[in-house]
Amino acid sequence: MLITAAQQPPGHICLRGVSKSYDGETFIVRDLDLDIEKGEFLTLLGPSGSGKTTTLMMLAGFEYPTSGSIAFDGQAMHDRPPEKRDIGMVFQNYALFPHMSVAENVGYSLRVRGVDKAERDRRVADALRMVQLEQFAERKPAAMSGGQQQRVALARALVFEPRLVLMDEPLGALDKKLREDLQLEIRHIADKLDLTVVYVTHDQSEALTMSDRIAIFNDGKIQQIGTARDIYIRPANRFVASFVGDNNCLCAQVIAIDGDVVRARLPGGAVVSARQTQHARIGAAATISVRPEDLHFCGGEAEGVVKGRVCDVVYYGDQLRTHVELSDGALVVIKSSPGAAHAGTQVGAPVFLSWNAGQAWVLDPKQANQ
Amino acid sequence: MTMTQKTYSDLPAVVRLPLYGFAAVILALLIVPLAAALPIAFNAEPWFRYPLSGFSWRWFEQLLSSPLWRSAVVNSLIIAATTTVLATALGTLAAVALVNPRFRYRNAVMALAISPMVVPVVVLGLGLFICFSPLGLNYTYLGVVLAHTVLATPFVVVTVTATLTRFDFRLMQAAANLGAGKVMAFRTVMLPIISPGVAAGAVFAFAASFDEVVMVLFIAGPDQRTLPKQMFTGLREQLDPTIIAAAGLMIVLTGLLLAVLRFSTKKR
Repeated sequence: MLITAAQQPPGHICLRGVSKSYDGETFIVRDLDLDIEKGEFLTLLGPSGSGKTTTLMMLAGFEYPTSGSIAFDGQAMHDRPPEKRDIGMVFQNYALFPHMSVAENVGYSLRVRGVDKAERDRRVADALRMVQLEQFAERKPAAMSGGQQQRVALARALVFEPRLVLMDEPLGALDKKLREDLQLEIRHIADKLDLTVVYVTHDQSEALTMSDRIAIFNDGKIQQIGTARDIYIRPANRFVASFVGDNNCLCAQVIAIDGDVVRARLPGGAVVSARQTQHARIGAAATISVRPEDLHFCGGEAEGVVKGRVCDVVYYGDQLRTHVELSDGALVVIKSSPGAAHAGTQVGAPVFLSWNAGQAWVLDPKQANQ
Repeated sequence: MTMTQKTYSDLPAVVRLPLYGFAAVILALLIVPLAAALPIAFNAEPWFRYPLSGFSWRWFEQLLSSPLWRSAVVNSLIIAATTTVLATALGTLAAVALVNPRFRYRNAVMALAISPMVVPVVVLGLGLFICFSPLGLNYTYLGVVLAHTVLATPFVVVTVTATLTRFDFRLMQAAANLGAGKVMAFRTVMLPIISPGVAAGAVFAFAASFDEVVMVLFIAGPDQRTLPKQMFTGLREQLDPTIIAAAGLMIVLTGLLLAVLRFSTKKR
């Protein structure tokens, strides 16, 4: 059944067939369809040049789509100028007004909307209290730390109660500890105010911890969209598997499909099993993807076991990563706890690896340019 | 390892002393003519000659009491002030367009906008005189102001463009995102931030008009006699130290403007 935008609950944002090109030949975003629900925290994750920032800029109105439509509650938005969209934005490096105090920065949107002074002061004070900066109202942004400036930018983007909040790598310039604190804080504020947030990042751990849903971008297209768990456990294709988390991607040839289980032969001759997806075709090349934590060491050669040689053992404190070269030359990584039985394995020693068929996926084969 | 910045005193004397000498010659070239001319404004006798025959304020009194000189001072101030307002507004707006990478003809327009700095003023003056004739603008205040605006605007364009290259244009995006239209964003965000550059441009524009004489010779009538024009006439007709007193007044006024500019930008 076709659902029209008018039937959606209020606050719904809808992108249909959105493309962006500057020269008419190369497309930065191609034929994008995306629905954003009211109150949702959606992260656009992808490498640089994947189209995620351009998508954000088209939502904000700083870029216009070459084709396609963007609608809020069924109302066309893509050709409105940014100042008429009622969207809050936290910029990379904050873009605070250097000549205004913190309170003036936060109150700017209310001032241009003609909100009277008493009301403005009250809402600015509320917004600053929310980000715990009420005692800094009279400071200039330059006299504040990066984390504090980030909070000012957040208060400024929220004070006029926009219907959508965009965040463009807002934590990129901060150190790791502060970044993790602010991730939680942003998430709490978003939940408390029931904000609809579109968040752009290239940091996958940030995406995994903050989002309701994640859209993985590559090459101007959404490769997969879903919850963090969906994407981590069931990557839709080879790109998602290798971009989100560590993943071992092995080239193989499908030899049999037995219900839910696919049997495939590795170049070294071993026959392994993995779960069926839309990608498996008998006789065709495919990728077998297994998370490093799902690979196990085992005693000796048997059905579904792959032979290899240890080429490196790296100690990470809470985990041990063993790099193994398979007999066909492919490299895989195994994550295990430092107390495990094989912890004493020497570099150069022969090892046998296996995995549960249920924890491996058959994905699209490696492309020539990958 | 620490690196210490080399200073001039670290250089060997063979290099250092000629460098100092060179700097001294340049400074002397700038200062000596002024030092030679300005004291004559206080000479008690109407001669351009040293030693001075005595100290007196009489040429300054002459400057302010003679109707010819006084109207020249007033004319110069009116014309320079009006020119400054016009040139600053036009030059600032032009600079905003000229730094926008989406403006396709920016290089060509930039060359045109600063051409009055390189085209000989005599040519411009003659051209304007010809154009103003059918419009009846010759021998009017408006004509002189327009002519001076043509000369002064490039100074504003150059200083404001230089300031805008350091301006973070994402601030304009932030303003738009927060609901400010183009004009509002310009007035509340861009203009306050680039105001030191705009003020510097305004001072240069004022100075360009205040000591300009060639355009005045072409365009101005007897009613628009400015201070430089009066000095020029004085040189030929009745040479006395009032000219130097007038020059002193011009230097003091322009210097004051520069001092105000420095003071106001330091305060930020």
